[in-house]
Amino acid sequence: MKRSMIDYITQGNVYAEFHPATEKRKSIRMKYFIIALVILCSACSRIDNALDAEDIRPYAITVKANSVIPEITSTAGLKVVFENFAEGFRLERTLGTGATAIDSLIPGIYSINISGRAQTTDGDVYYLNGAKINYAITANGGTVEIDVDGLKVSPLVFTEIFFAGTTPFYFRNQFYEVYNNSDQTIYLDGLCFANLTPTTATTNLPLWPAEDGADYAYAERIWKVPGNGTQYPLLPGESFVMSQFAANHQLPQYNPASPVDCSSSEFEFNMDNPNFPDQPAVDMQHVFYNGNASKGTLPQYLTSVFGGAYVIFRVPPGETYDPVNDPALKTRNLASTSTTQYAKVPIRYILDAVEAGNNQNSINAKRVPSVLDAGMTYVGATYNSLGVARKVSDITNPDGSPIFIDTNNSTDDFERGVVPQFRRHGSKMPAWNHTN
Amino acid sequence: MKKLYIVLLLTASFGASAQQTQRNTPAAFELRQQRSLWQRSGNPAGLQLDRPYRYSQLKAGYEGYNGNFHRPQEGVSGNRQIVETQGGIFLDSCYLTGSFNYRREGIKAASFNASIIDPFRGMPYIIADLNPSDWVQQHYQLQFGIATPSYGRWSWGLGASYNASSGAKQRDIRTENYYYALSITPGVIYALAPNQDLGLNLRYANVKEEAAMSNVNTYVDQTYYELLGLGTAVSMLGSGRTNNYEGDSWGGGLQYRYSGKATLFLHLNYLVEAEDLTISFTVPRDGASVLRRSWEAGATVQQESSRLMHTLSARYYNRHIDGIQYITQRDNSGSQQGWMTLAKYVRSTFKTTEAALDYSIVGKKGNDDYSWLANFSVRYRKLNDEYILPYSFKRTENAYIQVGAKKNFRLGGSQLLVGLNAGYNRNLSGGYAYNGANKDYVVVTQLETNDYRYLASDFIRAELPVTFSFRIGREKKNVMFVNGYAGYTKAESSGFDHRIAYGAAVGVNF
Repeated sequence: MKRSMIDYITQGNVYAEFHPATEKRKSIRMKYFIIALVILCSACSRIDNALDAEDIRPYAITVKANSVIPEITSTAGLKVVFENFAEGFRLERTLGTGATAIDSLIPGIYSINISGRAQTTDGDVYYLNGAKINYAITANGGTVEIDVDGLKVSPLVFTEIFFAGTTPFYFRNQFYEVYNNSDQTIYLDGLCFANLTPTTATTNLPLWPAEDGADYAYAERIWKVPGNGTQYPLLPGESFVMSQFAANHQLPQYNPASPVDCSSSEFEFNMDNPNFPDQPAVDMQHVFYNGNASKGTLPQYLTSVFGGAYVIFRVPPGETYDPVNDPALKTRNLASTSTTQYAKVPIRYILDAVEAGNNQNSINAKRVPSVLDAGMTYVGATYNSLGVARKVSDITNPDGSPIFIDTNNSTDDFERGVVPQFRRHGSKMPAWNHTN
Repeated sequence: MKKLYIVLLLTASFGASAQQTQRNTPAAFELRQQRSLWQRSGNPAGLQLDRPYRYSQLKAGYEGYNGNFHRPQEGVSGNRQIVETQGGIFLDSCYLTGSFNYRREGIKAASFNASIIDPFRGMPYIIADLNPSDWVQQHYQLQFGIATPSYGRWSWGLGASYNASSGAKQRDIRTENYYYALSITPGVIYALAPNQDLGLNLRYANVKEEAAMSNVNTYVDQTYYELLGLGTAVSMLGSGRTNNYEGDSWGGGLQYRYSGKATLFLHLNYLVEAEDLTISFTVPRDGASVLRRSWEAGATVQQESSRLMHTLSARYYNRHIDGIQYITQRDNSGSQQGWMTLAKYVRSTFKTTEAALDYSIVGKKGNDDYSWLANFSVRYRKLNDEYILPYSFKRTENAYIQVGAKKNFRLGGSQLLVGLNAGYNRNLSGGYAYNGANKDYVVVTQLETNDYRYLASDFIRAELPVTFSFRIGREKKNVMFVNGYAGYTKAESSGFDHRIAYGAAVGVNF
């Protein structure tokens, strides 16, 4: 019999005779044995992992809304909506007094929104709103507590956004329409517009300085309405349009398939591209891009045709906002090595925000804090000539102009996949529009 | 792997020098197949109990199919080029069998599959897109089995197989896929008595498939669906993703054979498989898993005289697949930057139950050839797929009856085998109800709905196989054959019409 070690006993001692070739065979056998063992363990582990999965069943959790307005002591009657966007599951309930049990929830990742009117002890009525985004429900029972705050009702709201472009790959007809949803005249002078970063919805979110907390949104580029303070009044019921390129896109040299003619826009984002010359619309004033006031070298101001995140904001009187020169108001993405600078936009400046994504499943890649926009809108494809439009409420202004719905949730507030048009639902054009 | 090729080539060459006159006709091959109860059981230790002899076969062929009676993920038409070789040889007192098959397949206009070479292999978690597309696929199958002689009451055996496939979808969203499956099957047989044997085999297999999707036209983002089962899907936009499937399986089989005036063969197999889908290599995310458990039981009675051979077999098969979905969340904190798996649940089940009864009678010509054969079979098949929450189901229950006959004409020194098989499928019951979100998704309205309609269709089928063979070589020891078949399936269902399949091959038996 061949053995790698021949043992024999001499005078009561044990000796081992060493054979290199047989040692090598033993080593190879050991290697095979270890490989086999690894395969065996790996196979068992995969099967064990699968056997370990429990059958799905509906879960119940308890929801508690905490009012941050001291005068509001009860949140009973508020509406709570659970939405699992990936699975298209939605469940709506009304909160009772104290904690409310919610059953029939499919385990998953949810956006939980609480909203509704509540009355203070003094009789004042607030529109309360609070949310938790990407909240994982993976256990039966448990309690989720959500702070609800009085909603800042914006006088200016985005009412129409067209970002998807037109086939084949024509994107210069992007535009953003903003409406005066209040009963007062608003001067647009100094109003800022920005698109946030990441420019396209992604779950690979940036990492921002921890000291920022939840106080900022982060802009890639900022523009401002020029003017001396009273140059561009917007009356109740009026809207204005900011276009990437304020031309008639249906002309042969552009794209006759374009659904819109942007030549009546009030403003345009002029990037000084001689191939797409300056139009009669007023040029927006450039504020910030990559840490600088200059526009950079890009030939157009293109936001993502998948859908971006857009904000309008105004710097409160008495404050200065200079993200170019104030290092505290700009930052880079700490999760990457890129040196690109982004402007910090204080949340409290923001009047309205709308987040758009590829489709309903982009909600798990939200860029906009839920206090600004708890949802997301979409058109589901690129270059399909479709846009999104804010829904109108049942009530109108005395002159018949519409009042638009604004619950800070663009999933609910916007109609999706509409053919874009200017001044829908009877919105009026301001008197200072260049076509008048 | 090279060693395995060499052994197979040796097998073929040794077989060529060991021709035995009546044992290498196409009819003899069929008869051998019918007698090889141990080989069909999957226990390689039983190869020596199947009246083994040395043989080799090499053939090349072409097959095609066409017609609108097909599942949505099958091609509207397609063709295959095939090269196959197999053989059996004695190495000392051991018996070795081996085979190598190559198949190149061109599939035309297959729909709702942008991520997997075989969408019917029991993996429901795939990507479906909207563009019917051609696929080009290549498949390699290498297999061997070796059996020792009896050592006292014990016989030992070892089998292994290696399957490799590659596939490429030809239209955006394109995908390039690589698949392999490696299995190893050790077996043992214990002779209870001179006419009774008890067999046991184990089986381990490892499977992997990688699918890398992309768009050639990067300006057009494609709509695609992440399928979760029975129409439940997540709609996405873009160029797809990278899917990495990895699976392991363990199983085993028990066999019992009694040989008397008739042979009784019983077998029982059990297999448990787990396959995981991981999405992306760079930032991997648990996509889904499946757990497949299948068992099979069968009984065969074979009685052979000098003139006739009767075979009656019954088989029961049950497969249960758990579809497991993960709840994952992206962690974008500085220390993590990856996907966390928070929970996993069995979200769907896919059950298949089959029962079959087959009877065949063979009119023998000598001991190793046949003059005619006739067979009759009836098969019951039930599919019961459920998505648990929200509850959806797809069920079908079918009975299939087939009769067939084959005649072996002798034309001088040549043989002409002409057969005819006719079958009828009757749908007994079925239904598809989707109660999830997004009922308007095409994966509900077209993919699952049409798949159900196909599975629940009545149809009749006829097939005509013909094989002409003649002896070649100076000593007329080897056999060359040309075979062909034409099959026609006529659906009795609105929306479907027919499907034809045809093929031809030329080969040599050494």
